[in-house]
Amino acid sequence: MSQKGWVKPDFAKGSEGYTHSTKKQCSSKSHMYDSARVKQSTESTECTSTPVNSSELVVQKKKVAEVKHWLEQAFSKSQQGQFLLLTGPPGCGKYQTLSVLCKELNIEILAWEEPIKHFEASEWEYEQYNPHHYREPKQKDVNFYDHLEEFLERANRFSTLKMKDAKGSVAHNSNMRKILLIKEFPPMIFKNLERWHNILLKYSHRTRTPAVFILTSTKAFNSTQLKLFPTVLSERLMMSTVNFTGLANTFVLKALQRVSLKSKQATPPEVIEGIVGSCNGDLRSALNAMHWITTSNVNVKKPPAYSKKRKLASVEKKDSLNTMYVRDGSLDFMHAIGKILHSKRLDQVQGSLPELPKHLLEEFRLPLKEDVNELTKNIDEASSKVLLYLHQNYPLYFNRIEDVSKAVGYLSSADSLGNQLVYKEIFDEWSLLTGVRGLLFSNTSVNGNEVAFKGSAWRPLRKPDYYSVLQQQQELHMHVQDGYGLKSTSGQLNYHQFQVSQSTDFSANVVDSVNSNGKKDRDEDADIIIEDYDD
Amino acid sequence: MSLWVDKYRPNTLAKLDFHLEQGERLQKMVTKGNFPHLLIYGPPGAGKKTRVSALLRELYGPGVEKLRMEHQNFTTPSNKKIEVMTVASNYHIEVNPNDAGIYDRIVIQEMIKNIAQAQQLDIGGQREFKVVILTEVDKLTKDAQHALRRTMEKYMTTCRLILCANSTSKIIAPLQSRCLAIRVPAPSQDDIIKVLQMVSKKEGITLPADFAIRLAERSERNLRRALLMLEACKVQQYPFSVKQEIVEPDWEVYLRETGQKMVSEQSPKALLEVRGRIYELLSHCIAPEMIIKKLLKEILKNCDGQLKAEVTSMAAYYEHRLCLGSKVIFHIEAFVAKFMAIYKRFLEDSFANMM
Amino acid sequence: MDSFLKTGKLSNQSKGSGVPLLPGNVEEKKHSLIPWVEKYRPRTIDEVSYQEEVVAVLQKSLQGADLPNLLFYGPPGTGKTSTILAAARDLFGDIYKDRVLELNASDERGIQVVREKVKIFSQRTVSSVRPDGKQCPPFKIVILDEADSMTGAAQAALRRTMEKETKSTRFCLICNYVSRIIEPLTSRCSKFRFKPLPREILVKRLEHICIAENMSCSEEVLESLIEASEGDLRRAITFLQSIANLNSEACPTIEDIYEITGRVPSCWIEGLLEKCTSGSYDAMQSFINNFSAEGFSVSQLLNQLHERIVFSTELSSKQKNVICEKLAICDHRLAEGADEQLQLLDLSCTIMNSFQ
Repeated sequence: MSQKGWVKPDFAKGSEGYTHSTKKQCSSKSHMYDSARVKQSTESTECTSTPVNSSELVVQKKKVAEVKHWLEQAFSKSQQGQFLLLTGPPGCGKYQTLSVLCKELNIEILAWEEPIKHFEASEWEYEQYNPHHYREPKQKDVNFYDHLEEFLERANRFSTLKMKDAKGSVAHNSNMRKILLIKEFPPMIFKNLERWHNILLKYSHRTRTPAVFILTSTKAFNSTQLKLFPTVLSERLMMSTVNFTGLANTFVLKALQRVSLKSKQATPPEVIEGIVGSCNGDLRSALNAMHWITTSNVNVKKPPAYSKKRKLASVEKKDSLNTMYVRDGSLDFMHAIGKILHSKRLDQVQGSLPELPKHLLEEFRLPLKEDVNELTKNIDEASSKVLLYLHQNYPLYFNRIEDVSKAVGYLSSADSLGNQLVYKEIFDEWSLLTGVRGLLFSNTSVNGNEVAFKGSAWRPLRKPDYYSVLQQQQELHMHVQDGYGLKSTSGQLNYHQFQVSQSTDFSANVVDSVNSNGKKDRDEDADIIIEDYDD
Repeated sequence: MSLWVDKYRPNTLAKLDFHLEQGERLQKMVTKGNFPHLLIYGPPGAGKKTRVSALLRELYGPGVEKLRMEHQNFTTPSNKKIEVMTVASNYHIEVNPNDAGIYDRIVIQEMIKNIAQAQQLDIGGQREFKVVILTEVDKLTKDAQHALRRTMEKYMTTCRLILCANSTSKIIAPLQSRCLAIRVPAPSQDDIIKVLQMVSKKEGITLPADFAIRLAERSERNLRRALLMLEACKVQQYPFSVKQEIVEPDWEVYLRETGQKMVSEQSPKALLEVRGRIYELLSHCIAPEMIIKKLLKEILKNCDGQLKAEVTSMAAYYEHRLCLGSKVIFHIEAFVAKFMAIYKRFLEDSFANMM
Repeated sequence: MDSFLKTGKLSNQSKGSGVPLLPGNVEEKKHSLIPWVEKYRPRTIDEVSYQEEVVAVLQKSLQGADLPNLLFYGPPGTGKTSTILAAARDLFGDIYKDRVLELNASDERGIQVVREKVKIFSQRTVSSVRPDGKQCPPFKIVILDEADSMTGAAQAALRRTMEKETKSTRFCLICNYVSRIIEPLTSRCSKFRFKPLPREILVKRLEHICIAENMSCSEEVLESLIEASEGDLRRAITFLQSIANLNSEACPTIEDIYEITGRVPSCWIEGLLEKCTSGSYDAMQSFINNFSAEGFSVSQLLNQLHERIVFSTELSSKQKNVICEKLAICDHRLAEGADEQLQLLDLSCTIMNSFQ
């Protein structure tokens, strides 16, 4: 029943996100870069750029070497069950590294895929007749683990596993070495983690085929990894772990340049730079962005582009171009944040401003260069997110603590305003305006009065720490809840326990606030990417 | 072996260490058989839970001590599933409705309905009602509190509620009037010293009187804290010396250092540093109001009279903001920044006066 | 309303024999569950104390005069609900359950619900003869308790209903603040203000209950009970029952009253003021820490402090002004969930400053 899911992965098939795309599957018939190029019109740049050998990989050499070493020793030793876990942020080339290395070492990859439809044949047909047939989630649940187990069983049982390939064209070399690859961890897996662990353990005892897990981590502190592979388990499995890091911008740049050279249309270098700047180490998204620009903006002419390059220093002028290569508008967003923090005031005003009474003279400000209402209107993000970004970064733009205290007072008011349940839209708008205008007003060190902070003008905008703090709180909360029952019965007493019980004591009070915060912010995108923004 | 706090928890009303008269009255109430809804309130570490569990034992005998943990599921009208953990015996069930967040009303209504409607199987049992213990009632939404008063009347015959709270300020009046309110004041220092001595005697360790007094002073009249500190001190160094450092939770030490930082430097940079530290505390689930309170306590040491009043009112103002807003860091940071500005001005003024 | 009807039924049973019968153990247990507030509600309008004006009108309607729509207002615990319920019982006797619809704030009371419920109820026709053959007025009574918590829209919706059903239904609106009832509604009702009950009447009533419940209570204790319940008879009776629950044998003391009512003993209030005048912040802080450790409610303290400040002789109007403003602010913050200790500290600082 589960045969459907057995697919032998093609090397040209890029990345996690697209594994199910049918378009991808037909286009991925071409294994080689050259043939892919011919078909370029139907493929994304991503495919054309697949590296063919390990030297072309833009991943850190050390990581490649580590993986290679593991692969080699996995087949040299006759130990049972070898496991490798690859982790890293999205688009840093985990899978590519593995696939390229496997190809070089002549190893076949058997990838497990999440069964989308796993019905008996009859059911399958029935489904075709009746597209609205409702599937019982429970049945799916059961099938899910069965499917996984069966897959592992089979891989184990037959020394040469005959793949059911739809085309049946690929001849299998029975001597070919193979590894198992699991790179999808569907949410269902968390429903019965114990079973998943048992499956792994069972597998480790019975098989000799090495297995590789690829886990995309998005956060610094990753709970998924701990859940799927708790320390105890990975110790028992003797699992090796290789952590990939996000690609450095220079690597991405190199890769993009190479792809750009190979492809028919050359992409202007400054566009590439822009993409590199906005992709945040995610090569895949960078490639996608480039592909999008080259296809949709075929007429990116060189002369205007060059003229723009000269003006790159000016923030405002960059706007027009960057809309082309920003991935999700976040660069735009960062620009707006930058503008608010970097507020400029006019040096002088035409005509005379109304005189302020004496006691208010301290509050005198020259008019702003920017129209604040216009600026805030153009920010598409939720106001609470804008406020968080502003809050994270504003102190660097202030010189006097008095100004800071005023500014953060406004932020506090803005947050209180934005937390209303009724008339949310109206309050959100006012909250944003209060925050933004408050910041602009409080900062008296603008227009060259700025003494650069610590002598450096480089003030990258940073992602709010708020998100990671929130996540840690939730994790700790969960941990505390789990440990709640054990607390009073646990045997060993040590100082740590003292701390734990103390913290439970107080965290019990926090539970409420964590909950409510979590609720309020769940709608905000938690996966905000760190953007380094050069001003 | 368990923590001393749990090990030496009195399990009957007769064995209570302090508030003896109150204990007697509770016992009388149980023996008399008319047992109204109770609202037990008092500061943390005063022994509310101890009294509740002793009361339960008094009501049902040792059977209530067979506890089991259960996860109960509730479905909200919007079809969201909530899971709440409960601790229950055959006779009672304990739940913290705040685990359900804003859905606490549903949890309360559903759970009490389920319990009240299920007939007690054990007909020979002494009581015809079960007990539902709700903790942290003062954190309940107003909605849930209003729902509770209807529920209380409706199921009076089959179940009794024991509500636990830190203070009655946040409990609506109709709810208070439906319950017999029992105030559990924090133990006095003498009470704490007595208990500390008693525990050390049972553990077979000697506790110098001076050290006991110091422990009691540092405990802020919180018995749980006192016992935990005693135990931690024992682990750290035994036999006790009078001069021995009292082990405090590390987050309190950390907060104290943070307060000192605020006093020592007032600049945007220092603010950023303090922010980092506050984030660190928040991510360890230290309650934000606790942070403000402890910071206030620390920085007040460096202020003179007029400044103290000003800083206190700042703290009260921004602590209130915590309840209004959703991002606690904004408000704590606002407090920190305001203090820095005020304090800087104060320093400059006093410097100018000296000239 | 459920509980009300239930107790109404129970008390009806016991009414026949005059003295509550206690046939068995079970009955007794059930009996102890009845709140005394219900148990000692006046059964007839003659029993209603002190509100002569409204009693006179209701008595006239008992003798056959038409009953207007009524609006009762006044502070809590002055007998508004009791009066109309007693009147209904007098008017309808045993069929009173069918003739009265009581809706209060804890019931669903949106516009739609009020319309539906009232409509269905008021459309049933009623005869002017009771099943037992006696005469009774040919209308029904709808009691809207706590009407001031109804939304303006719901009140407006009521306006039309009141006029339409005037033939067969009388409305009785009960509220604390008449200003929260919209003008068109008040103009359709005859308004009766319930005066706060004077001390003697409260004492008499409580003594009556004490005797009926076989409790011994000194005059002094009753006095302080009344003070703690701020003239609200219902609260006083509830407190009395709580005291009886907690210790029935011994004679309750004033400390018991404080304990039950959650009232802060006046030594704490005086102590706080004294610490404030002393001008030492640290002394005040440790005093407040001790206060919170005792577990008293700060909002209760604020109420009592307010009383103390307003009627104090040693403070100037300007000082009172400053302090009361801060009191209001702190009370508001507390209501929104702020920390008790900090707010009390803040308030005390203000008081301290005003003394300097």
